[in-house]
Amino acid sequence: MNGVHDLGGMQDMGPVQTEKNEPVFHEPWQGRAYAVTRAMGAWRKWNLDASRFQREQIAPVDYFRMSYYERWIVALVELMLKNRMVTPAELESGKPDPGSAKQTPPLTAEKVQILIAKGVPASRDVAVTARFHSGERVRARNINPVGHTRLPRYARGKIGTIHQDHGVFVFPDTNALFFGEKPQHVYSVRFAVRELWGEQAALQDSVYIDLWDDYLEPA
Amino acid sequence: MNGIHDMGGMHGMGPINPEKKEPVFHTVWEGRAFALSMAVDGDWPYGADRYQIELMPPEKYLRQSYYEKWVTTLVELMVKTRMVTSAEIASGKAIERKTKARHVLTAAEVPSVIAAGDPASRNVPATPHFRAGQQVRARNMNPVGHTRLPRYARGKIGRIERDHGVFEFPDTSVNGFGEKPQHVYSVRFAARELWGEQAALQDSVYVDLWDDYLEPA
Repeated sequence: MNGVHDLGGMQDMGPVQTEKNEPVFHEPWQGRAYAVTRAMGAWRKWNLDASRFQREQIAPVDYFRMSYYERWIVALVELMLKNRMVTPAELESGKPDPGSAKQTPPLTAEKVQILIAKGVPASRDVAVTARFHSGERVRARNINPVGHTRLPRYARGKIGTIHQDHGVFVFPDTNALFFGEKPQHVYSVRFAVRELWGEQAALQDSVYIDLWDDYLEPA
Repeated sequence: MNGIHDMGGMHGMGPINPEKKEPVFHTVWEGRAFALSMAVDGDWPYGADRYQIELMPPEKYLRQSYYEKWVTTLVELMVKTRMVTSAEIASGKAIERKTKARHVLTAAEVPSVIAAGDPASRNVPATPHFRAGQQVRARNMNPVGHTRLPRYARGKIGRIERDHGVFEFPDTSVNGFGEKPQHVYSVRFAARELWGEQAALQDSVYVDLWDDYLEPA
């Protein structure tokens, strides 16, 4: 979707303030937000792309107001409600309903280290023919899906060159909507900034974007 | 600037709820906001208020209602041009000063001022770069200043539908760089050109575009 999360090329969003020695979490609740999200993800009721899409659907005014982990919590609650893993009454009271079923969570303390260490890779070890090769000129398609996509607005319709083939990965656009993983090649595509932003941009600068096969057409 | 005000093509902004018999003002303060904006003969260029609205932080822009934005930016422009001080705004009381307002709008003048509006058309000769029926491309430009060329039309090919005549050029005028009067055209873009093959074949968008936004295609 063309939402406010797609910030590439936007102006006047305020300065990016980098911290020296930035901690992993700024507050204990952020660590808890991360932990709860991972623990609930282990039920496999949704996937990484679906949680990203859920965060993109936060109302724009709230999206800008919220911090990173606030968005995580809000989106997690939405996903849990959608999947009937929690009821609005339980959220309100902070206590489980008397009738709610008790289950053994799929993520136990001893499994945490393994999960964190290996992550949840989106790469897939399946044979898929690559549609493009290094050095080839491609055009990013002009698509404007209402669902999730990783093709930023600013690159659509623009011509670039395949820089590198990263291999085969899950296709976020279909995966986020539970329409299947549709594994396909992902490429690093190089775009001249003048192609993206016009003649005012610096001649020597480029942007490299990781783009899926389905986002590209020959140019 | 590529700001949050440039909403064309955005998803997830919520429903548009048109009102039946919508009043001109929903509350009394909205009428006052409008009146104040008309009454203040500020020392800023034509259209500068629009640019000032665009400079609001995105979160605030989305939170404020239409006339809230008017008041916020009117105050900002008045402070910027030293018509008032922040202290005066905070206290609601004027500090004695020698400088006088440029012009005080009287009650008698109001009907004619409102009727006349503040037209952006200019009665000066300017050669049009394009003619009706001609194919054009909207330039791919991303100025940090004000522009009326929406992001979604940049780089896209359309056709000149109609020449509206000569108007001041907002990109330069709002920043005080001159009015640069030039032709404005209604340019027709096929929805498929703008949004890709998923868009309806028969749909078009007509965008009013200035000569400087266009190049031959």
